[in-house]
Amino acid sequence: MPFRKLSVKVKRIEVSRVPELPISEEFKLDVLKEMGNIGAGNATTALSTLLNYERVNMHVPEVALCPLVDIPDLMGGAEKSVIGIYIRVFSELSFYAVFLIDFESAQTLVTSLTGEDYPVMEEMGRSVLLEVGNIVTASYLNALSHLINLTFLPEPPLLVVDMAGAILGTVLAETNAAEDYILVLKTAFVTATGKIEGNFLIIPDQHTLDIIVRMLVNGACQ
Amino acid sequence: MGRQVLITDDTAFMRMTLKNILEKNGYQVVGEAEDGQVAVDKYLELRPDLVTMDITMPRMDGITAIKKIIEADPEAKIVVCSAMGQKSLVIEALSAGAKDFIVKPFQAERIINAVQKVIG
Amino acid sequence: MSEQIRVKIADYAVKKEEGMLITVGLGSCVGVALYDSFTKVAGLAHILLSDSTLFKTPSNPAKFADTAIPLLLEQMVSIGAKPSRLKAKIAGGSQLFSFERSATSVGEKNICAVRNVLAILRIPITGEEVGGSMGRTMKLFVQHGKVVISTVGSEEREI
Repeated sequence: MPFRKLSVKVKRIEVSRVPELPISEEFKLDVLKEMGNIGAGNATTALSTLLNYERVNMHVPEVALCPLVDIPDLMGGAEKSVIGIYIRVFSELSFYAVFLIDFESAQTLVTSLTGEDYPVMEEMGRSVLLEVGNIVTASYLNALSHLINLTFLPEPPLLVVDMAGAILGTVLAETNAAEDYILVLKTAFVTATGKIEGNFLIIPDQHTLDIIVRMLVNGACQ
Repeated sequence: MGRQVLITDDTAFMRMTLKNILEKNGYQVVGEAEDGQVAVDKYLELRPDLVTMDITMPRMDGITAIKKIIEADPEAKIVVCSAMGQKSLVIEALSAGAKDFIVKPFQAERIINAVQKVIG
Repeated sequence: MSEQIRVKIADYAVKKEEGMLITVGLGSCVGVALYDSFTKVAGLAHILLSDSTLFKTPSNPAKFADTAIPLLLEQMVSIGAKPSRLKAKIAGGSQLFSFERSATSVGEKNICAVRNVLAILRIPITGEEVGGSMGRTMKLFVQHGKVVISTVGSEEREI
């Protein structure tokens, strides 16, 4: 049976009562970027906390809006074989989150978190990656939820290994991404075990972005 | 014994982490469940003193599992351990009968304190 | 000039006589290769979505099967191709993530849309490798219209 919606009372969004405002593409992008900033702190703090017993020497979160076509290059090229953790969030507002990480960083992450060199593609290794994806996405959503007073319910995460371009294209197609800019949270950690770099993509569907823009513009959220 | 725990989480890594923390502090992990349905079944089978429960799981989510366990045993002691820290979910879990709600990622002390408060 | 042109996601390109067109990372996306063997005009499109009419303000027409393929054809004609001589080869439309509940996957929708558009344009499909669960790379060699597909961990094969 698929993951069922929880019976939570979600605040009704009365978009119809929000006056129509001319909203430029530029403004929408600003809002998208701001959404990234809001959640980035929380998400990267979560990752640091997870890695916490490993002395974390450096941690660089960076929020960027990246043109769709350039995203595969972030991972070292569209043909590079990478790991993607995919989490869909279907609530009153819908998001798609993808955590992309290369094999080397993935192994460092697994070793750092478990204290053992579990191979990345075997059960324990995979479950570490799934859990990291889960926690980072949830932290991001928790922050957003707090700000706009809505509840987001993510599905259990899915893991895939394939060419970066294929993973991205598939996710983008699924999101019906009409937006040509994608929100990317770039995270980089240096731990005693090694370097861990990952790109966390947040893709709201078009409807969601419009609503959030209107809510923020109209001060509908405290 | 009074210190038997059933762990519920869909990732092996988190189950292993929780198991290590609990066992190091003198608790006995009598079972592990990877989704809500298994948690309910194992609860009825093992009757542990405490259950840790994740929320986002395939097949049956944690809130539904909490409701079913409490229905079968109103005295059941359940502590939620989830990455989802949103206010409405916390309220829903506690209303359904959970005794505490721990947000991942957590420190070991937080889990142990929460467990101690519930079953000593 | 024997150069390689990379066609990125939601993009298309044409080339004549020599060289190669390549597109990488076809997941649920579909790569459409068109070739006129008489004038040696080649075109390659990397299609992301099936239908531009589902969007109020479609941004980039190269994203959609219904708009990209006609644009590709137009550009090929402008460098000497004749529509009636064109042959198509397609690849991609896979489902990388296995969801428990799958209605028609995006990959399948894309494959369907591509077939429809090619049928309307009366361009026969003479080779294909579609579906499955892996991402593909597609290469179109301009000199002879050969199309080669590869996936992670497998040998290249011609379609």
